[in-house]
Amino acid sequence: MGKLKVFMVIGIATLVAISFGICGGAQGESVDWHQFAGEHEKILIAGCERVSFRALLDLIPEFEQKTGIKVTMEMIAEEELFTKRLLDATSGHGVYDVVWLDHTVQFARAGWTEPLEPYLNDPSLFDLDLYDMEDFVPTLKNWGLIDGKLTALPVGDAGVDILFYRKDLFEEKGLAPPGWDYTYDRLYEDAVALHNPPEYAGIVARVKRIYPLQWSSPIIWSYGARWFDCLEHPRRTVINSVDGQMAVSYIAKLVQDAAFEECAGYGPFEAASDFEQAKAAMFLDISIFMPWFEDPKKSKVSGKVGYALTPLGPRGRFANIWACMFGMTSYSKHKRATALFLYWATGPEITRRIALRAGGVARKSSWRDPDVMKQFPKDWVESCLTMMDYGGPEAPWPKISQFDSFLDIIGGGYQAVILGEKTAKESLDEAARLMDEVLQQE
Amino acid sequence: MASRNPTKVPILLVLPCVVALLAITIGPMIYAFNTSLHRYYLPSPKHPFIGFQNYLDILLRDPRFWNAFRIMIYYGVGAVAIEFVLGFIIALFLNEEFRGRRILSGVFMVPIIITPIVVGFTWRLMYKPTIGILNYFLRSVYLPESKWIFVPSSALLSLIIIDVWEFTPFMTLILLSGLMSLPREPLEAARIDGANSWQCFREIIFPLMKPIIMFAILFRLIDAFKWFDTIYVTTVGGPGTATETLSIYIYKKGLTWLYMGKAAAMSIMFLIFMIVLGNIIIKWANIKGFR
Amino acid sequence: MNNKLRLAAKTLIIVLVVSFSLFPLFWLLSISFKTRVDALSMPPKWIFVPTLANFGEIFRRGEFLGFCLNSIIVALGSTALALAFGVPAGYFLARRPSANLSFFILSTRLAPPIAMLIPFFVIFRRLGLTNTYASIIIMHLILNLSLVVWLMRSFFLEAPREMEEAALVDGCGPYRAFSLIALPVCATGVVAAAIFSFIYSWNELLFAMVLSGYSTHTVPVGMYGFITWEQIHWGELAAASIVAVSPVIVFYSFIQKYLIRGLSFGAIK
Repeated sequence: MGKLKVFMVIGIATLVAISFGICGGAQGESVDWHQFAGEHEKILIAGCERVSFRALLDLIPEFEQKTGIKVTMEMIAEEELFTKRLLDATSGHGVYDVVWLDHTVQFARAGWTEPLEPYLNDPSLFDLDLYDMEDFVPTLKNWGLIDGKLTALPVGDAGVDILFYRKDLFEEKGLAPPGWDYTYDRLYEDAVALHNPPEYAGIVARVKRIYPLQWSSPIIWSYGARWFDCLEHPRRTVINSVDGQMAVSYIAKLVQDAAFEECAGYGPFEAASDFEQAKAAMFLDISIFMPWFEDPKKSKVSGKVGYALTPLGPRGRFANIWACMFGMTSYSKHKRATALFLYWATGPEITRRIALRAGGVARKSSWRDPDVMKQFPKDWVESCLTMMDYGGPEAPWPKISQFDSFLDIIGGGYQAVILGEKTAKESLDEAARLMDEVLQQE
Repeated sequence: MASRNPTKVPILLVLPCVVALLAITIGPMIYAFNTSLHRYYLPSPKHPFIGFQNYLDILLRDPRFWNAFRIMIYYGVGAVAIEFVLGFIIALFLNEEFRGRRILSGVFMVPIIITPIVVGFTWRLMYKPTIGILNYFLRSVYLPESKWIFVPSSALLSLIIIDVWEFTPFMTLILLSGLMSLPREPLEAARIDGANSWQCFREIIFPLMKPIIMFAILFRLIDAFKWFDTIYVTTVGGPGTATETLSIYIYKKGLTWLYMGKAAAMSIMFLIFMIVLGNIIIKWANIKGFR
Repeated sequence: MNNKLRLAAKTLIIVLVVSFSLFPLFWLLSISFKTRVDALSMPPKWIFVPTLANFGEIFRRGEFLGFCLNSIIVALGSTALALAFGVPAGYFLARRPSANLSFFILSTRLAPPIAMLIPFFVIFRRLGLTNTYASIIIMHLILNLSLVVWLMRSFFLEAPREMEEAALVDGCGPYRAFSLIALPVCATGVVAAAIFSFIYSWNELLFAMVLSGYSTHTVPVGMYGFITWEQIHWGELAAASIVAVSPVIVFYSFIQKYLIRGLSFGAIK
């Protein structure tokens, strides 16, 4: 009789323990969502007006309900955001807890961001199994690692360089659409063949001062050139190597022979609007332009655009990959709450829901999710997903603090060649010299 | 003339103005000057004192600074000259009574009222060679097209056109106000004596308007040299550096590339230049009786 | 014959000037009623199906009307202050010329605004004034005071002194001489000064952008919300511009009749 009782007690106790295990941890997640309940925590985010951030903004009330933390995301225009977050950080009285960081390195080296490892290693804030760091596109995950410390996490939309082309125009001219083995030489030939002024250009490109750098990086790397001698804390600029000169000469020739002259002043808006108004046959640029080209209310070419991989160069195929990043400020007064927010906003579930509205994101699981991707053109999804594995050696950008000077000097160097003002050697030598001066002033 | 007794005008009339301006400008100027004496890269924690090194670097080793200076002069002088001539013609025209005058002068003020960034973006769209409206008009009357702000050769002129469009109303309104407060007797007397329009203008209107004219040109010139908004929105100093005025260059140096020390030094030099220029204009105007 | 030629020339000038001035605004107006495809299409669509969607969009967000209100407050505030401080100062400088003082007041306008941006931001942050109207209004004083002072100085210089001196001899105090005699004569100047202060303040971008907080955004700053990196939301931007221009046009048309009326004062002189 006594033994049975003991067995029953043990049995019931075990059952109770198991059931606790099932319910108490909600699928075994270690994160404690309620740790700030009742503490009136607040977070202020310096965000930017983008589709993906709007999507995030709409999801924030869920977070607030779940945790009791009040989150305010300011949707600031980009121009203003750059100035505001800078002034905020330097004023000594900063108010932002989370900042949209495209100048990740600069902010980190200035000491304005907070390393995230302590929070990552705290199971009550980050459940690393569920979070799955490996799900991020490797290039983007590494981009947040500065001087060995994780400083930023990808959030919202992400993009990769791909080739946009007009399927109808290619068919008309009897040209084979760009495929796996499409090279830059063939790109040039096709662009020249399709160049049909004044109706439309073979290719459209944004050549306004700093922009050529962004879409031309696949070309630079595919020719074997590099911007700097090493990725972190570079000493010398090496863009003026022989490979670099060849790459930039190619770019200049492409734009001069197959694009309208006015590309010299084109920013992203002009280039995109030319393509969407059917004024160009090809466009080598970042994938986030796709929604505008496909929107029948805005675009004349919706349904006619093909999406291909970036071409093959003499030294391989590369792409530049980019995403919005969120970082925590070092002067934040709500660091733990902010960490919890970052975990939520960059986690797989929220990223997937942002992708539903915005398209490209930084997590591969979202890209593979059928619900998300069925609303986008199939070849776009495939091309982007493939290109995500071809991140270039210096992608997305070298880890230097003087990022804007870099864009201006090197971009100006390219532009001088494209405008025909200098030869590739002269211009790149000059750019390298100026850039080295800047680097030495670190 | 009756005796001028200057002490009758109380100083209290001008005191609030001076105090306000002093309060607002002294502090920042001292701060800016101090910054210009340091190597001040914003994200860096160290800002070592380097004396006048920034000034020397800019003046002697920065050709882009001189380019920006030159572009600024071209832009300012070109735009203001055109605005002055056009503005005067239109003001003379609006000075006479005719039906619909009030509506017309209202209509004419519209360009200066629209927010400069909107002006910039609108003109940027109109200037687009392929899908822009201006080239469309040129094509329709068989005139040659232009690439406007998108190529270096025509960019600066295109920007001057925008400035003329935007600020001729300023000139017009100032000059018109001046014309309207002119006393009538001299003009009527001259007309009776048989003077024609050109003589009236040269001998009577122009001399009487001199203070107003000097004000208009001085202020417009200062503003044109400092001008930032529409240039930033349309070309950001490009293509290349074809439209990079000093204002744009200072902005880029300080707020984009974060070299605050250099930007502050350039700002101080800009200020000195403007002070010298202002002095020269005023002295010249005094000599010529512009008061 | 001569008259007909003059009339023809005048008409031509009117037509040219009006079309040149108005065309961009007209173009903007048409874009505000077009869908995006129509707005950018070439050849331009003169005949199109108008849509109110753009206006709907800017009002739906709700923020834009707030921006207009903010801009009105800032512009009126800074105009009032600039006039209050500047008109008497202009009178003073006209009657008691002081080259140094005049030049000092002018020199406040000479510095590029960028030089003052950071120190002001820091100061206002410390004072807790960054999200208020006061900071922007104060900064706009820099822009407007010198203009008001110098404009009024020119007008007062043009105005003859005899009437004031006669009044002074009659025992009228200097303040009354200023306000009751000199001022009405130069009313056109005051009106012009008010117009320009208002307009410059309304359109000012740099200081407003840096010093305004989320709730005190002015219209130019708000416009940037329609401009993202790759897209300019033309329809909404155009619609917003049309809406933004309206208060200024109202202010101007209300006040410009005083401009024309000034003519009669000139005659009384």
